[in-house]
Amino acid sequence: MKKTALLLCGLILIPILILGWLSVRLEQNQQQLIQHQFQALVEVKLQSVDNLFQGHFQRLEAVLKSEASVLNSDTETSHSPLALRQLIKASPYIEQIFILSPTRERVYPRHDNATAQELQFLQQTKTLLDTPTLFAHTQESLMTTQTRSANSVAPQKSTTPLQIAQAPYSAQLKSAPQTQRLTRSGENTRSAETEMPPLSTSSLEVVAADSHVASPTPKAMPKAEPTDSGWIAWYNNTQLQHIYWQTTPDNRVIGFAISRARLLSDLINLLPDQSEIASKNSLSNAVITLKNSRGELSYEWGDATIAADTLTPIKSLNLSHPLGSWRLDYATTSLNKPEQNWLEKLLILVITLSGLSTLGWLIYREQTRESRLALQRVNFVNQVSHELKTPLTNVRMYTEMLESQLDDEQVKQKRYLSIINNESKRLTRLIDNVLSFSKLERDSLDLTLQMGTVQACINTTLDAFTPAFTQRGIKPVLTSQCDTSVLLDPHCVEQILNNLFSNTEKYAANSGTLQIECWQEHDYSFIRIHDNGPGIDEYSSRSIFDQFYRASNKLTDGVSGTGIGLSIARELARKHGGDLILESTPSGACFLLSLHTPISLSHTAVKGNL
Amino acid sequence: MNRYRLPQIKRLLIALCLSSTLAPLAHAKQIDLQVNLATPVMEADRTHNAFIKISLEAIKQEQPQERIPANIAIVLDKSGSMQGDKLYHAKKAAIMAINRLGTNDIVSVVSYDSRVNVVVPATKASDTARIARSIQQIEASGNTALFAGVSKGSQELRKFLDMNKVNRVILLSDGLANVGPSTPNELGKLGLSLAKEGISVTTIGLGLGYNEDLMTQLAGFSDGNHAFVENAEDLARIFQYEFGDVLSVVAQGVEIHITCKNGVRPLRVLGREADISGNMVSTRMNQLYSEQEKFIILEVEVPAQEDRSNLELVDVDIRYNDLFNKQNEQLSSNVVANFTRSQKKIDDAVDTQTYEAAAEQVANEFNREAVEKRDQGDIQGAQSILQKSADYLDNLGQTLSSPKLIEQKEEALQDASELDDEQEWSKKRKELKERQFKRAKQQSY
Repeated sequence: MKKTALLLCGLILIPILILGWLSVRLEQNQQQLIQHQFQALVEVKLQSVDNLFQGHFQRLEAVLKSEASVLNSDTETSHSPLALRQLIKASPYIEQIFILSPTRERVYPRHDNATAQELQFLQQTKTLLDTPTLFAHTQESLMTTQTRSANSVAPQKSTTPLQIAQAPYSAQLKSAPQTQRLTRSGENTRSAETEMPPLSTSSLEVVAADSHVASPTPKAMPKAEPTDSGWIAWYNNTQLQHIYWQTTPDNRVIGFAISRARLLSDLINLLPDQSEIASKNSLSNAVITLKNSRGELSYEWGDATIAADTLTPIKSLNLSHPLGSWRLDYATTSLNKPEQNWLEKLLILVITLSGLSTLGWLIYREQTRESRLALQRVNFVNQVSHELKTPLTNVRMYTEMLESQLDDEQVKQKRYLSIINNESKRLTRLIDNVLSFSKLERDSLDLTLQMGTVQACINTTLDAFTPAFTQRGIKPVLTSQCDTSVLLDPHCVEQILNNLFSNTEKYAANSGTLQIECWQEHDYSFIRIHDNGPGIDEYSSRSIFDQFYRASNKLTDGVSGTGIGLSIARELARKHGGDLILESTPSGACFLLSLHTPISLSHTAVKGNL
Repeated sequence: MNRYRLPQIKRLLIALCLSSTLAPLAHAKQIDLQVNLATPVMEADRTHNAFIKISLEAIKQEQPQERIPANIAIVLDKSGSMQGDKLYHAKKAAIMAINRLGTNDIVSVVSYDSRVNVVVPATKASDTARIARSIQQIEASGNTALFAGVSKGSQELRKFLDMNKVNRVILLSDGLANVGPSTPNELGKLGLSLAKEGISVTTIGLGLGYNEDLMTQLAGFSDGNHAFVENAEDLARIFQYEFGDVLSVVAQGVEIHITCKNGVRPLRVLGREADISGNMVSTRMNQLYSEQEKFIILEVEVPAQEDRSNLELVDVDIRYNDLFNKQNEQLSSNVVANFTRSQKKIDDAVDTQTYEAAAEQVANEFNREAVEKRDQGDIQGAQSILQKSADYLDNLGQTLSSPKLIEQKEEALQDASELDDEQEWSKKRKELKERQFKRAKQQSY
């Protein structure tokens, strides 16, 4: 019963576990996929901000370019400080302007004629202005960009390690992503971004320079002189100061220092405010922060219910040059977990579990009912068998008493009595079998070992069968070497033999000799019973020891039997430490019975070794 | 001394070229330019430090004129510290002020805490009820993203930015900027950039928690107003003043160029930021208000001259955008000093008003230095500066018999005595900064 319950439990749990595991795996995969998509989405979002900023720099560049061209057209040879100051005053973007001569000497602002602001600017940018290489394109970089000339408009990234030999410090310029794009004037400009390690001379200042090289276009345009220009991100007191520079046709350098505050203000104005976010519902559960080169929060926008400082960003994007050291952080409270999916899967699991459980419970109930009924039946048969045994014993006893009192001449009566005796013996065997069967089933059969000889047992059984054998034309021949007294359960042995002989009697009628051999080896006794009957065909021989199996053929037709004889015989033999096997012979059926028959009690322990 | 502008042929030609029409010359000028010397007669044979006052005043017009349309962005701090009374009064003051605007005016409202919210995008101030409803919905929480708030406010102004409108950001804050740039320098730079576009920022500091340096720099560089409001109840009044100012602007984008002549060397400009380069001095004011005098005081070094000689000290050239005529106008003037050995002539010629104004600015500079010293922790140094200021004022006040200067002297002594009160310093400093600002910029309220 317990086994059944356990089996059923396994039957229910295993599929549930498998299903659960699979759904967990599926969910995990989905989560990963979603997370991946989410990350990609976030990156696109942040990238779009970066693009916005790049757009701003391009617009700024266009503005500054036009300012520069106005300045250049005004004064072909020199820029008047007045005009420059006027421009500084008028342009909200420009904080300061500087001009370098063709030999890269500073022309404006001059120390001797500078305002306080200009002096301050000069002091801050001393190292920068003393490094003319920043404003000129090294021949190598021009070469690389030219050899790399491709007609595609799409941005193309590559790294070119550049070495500037004439730089005052032997710094290796590295990581130069080169972008190609079509400017408004139709020129192909390429940029070579260069970065420098901190200068040894001034520990506070680091230069990041970027330059656009405008190569002459094949179709010579009216005013298409090759002019260099670029952005320099200059660290001034750890704050990025942006400088846009351009070479004039007469090979001067004009540089515009961008108002830092104004630049940030403009960038902030490109970003959405809270009401915009609320109306578009674009950033639910998320907040984006813009951090400057010092890692300070410059601007944040996003879900009003979320405070950015309490979250760790799930994605960071470093902005492109010239905002190189600036960063965008994306923080969110949830990864938009599809919790409904979990619920769904859980629901499926629960339904399956309950379905299987119900089914299992029904099966279990049905099964227990069946077995209870079977048990009841068996008990009933046992009871009946027991009840039959007592009257049968009486019948046999009185038959024998009556037989002994009969005279010799009363042949007819004697014959009747012997028939009664035989039949009642057969009935006894049948009942014994039934009882043994049920005992074996319940595993409650105990052997009662006592001293005796195997031969005695054989003789007793043969005696009982002699009338029947004689009647059925069977002639038992006993070859016995088993007269040693051993420890055995005579009743058990007799019951085995009874079953074997009973089979012989039933199925091997008129077969002549029934050879019974008996021998002993060590602690074992062997009995071979070989009849000359029709034998057992190979097919049946496999299952003759199975319970309730009856070989079905011409032979067995019409012969009554319970189908438990041989199985009981084998079980009993095994119980007795031996076995019962069917030996193959050319004719008839041959059974070999082995029994563990120790000579003395001390040998019984060996029994288990077989 | 030249009280009226002297149209020179050259200037006229430039004006002609610029305007390419004679029509504006026919217009009555809105602005009166006066260049005065505190000491028009100087002692001969020695160098002098002289004060030149360049003052601009809108002339009262005979017939009432249409008001100049305003483009105003109100930027309200709604950080956590504004909670309660402060925000209530701020909202009330803003709504009241907006109700003064007409249908030609444009208004926008931006609120900020850690983030920025454009409460009312730039719109015509016709549906004031709707605007008021939006303002009422502002609730306080979070940090102070002052920089971003001003940025977004100015962005709203830019939607309708017009040189013929009064473009003004009115910033109200009660706390330290702690999201985004937060130094006075950075905010000053932003103010400078906005001024170049013709946007002024008026800063109103509420309570004792704000950074007065930041607020005065932002207002100073953009030539807006600045006010220190200790009690939120006063906000309504300040907003009324401010709107009154905004609605009385007559000229914008005033550029002042001063050329020192004949070996005169510019030393400093008192009160206002100015670029001094060689003998050139230039500065600007974002706007001139109706019936308000704005001036700058220039201190110059005058080389020694012979007795009875005349010397032209400076040429002043003013350009501005006349909002009524929607014209760029130009004014110019110069100032001539006389030299004598007669002390009486010198004393008689002293321009008391001009000297008073100059002395006021000088004392203001002393005051500024005193605050700087006090910031360094040198209370005694600060007090001695104020004492110096008081002596200077007393001396001049006696000479000029000016009650105004004597009053200012008392004020300086009062300030000196209050410098060492640690507990009251935060408030005192805000008061001083506000007063310095108002003196320097001749703020009307």
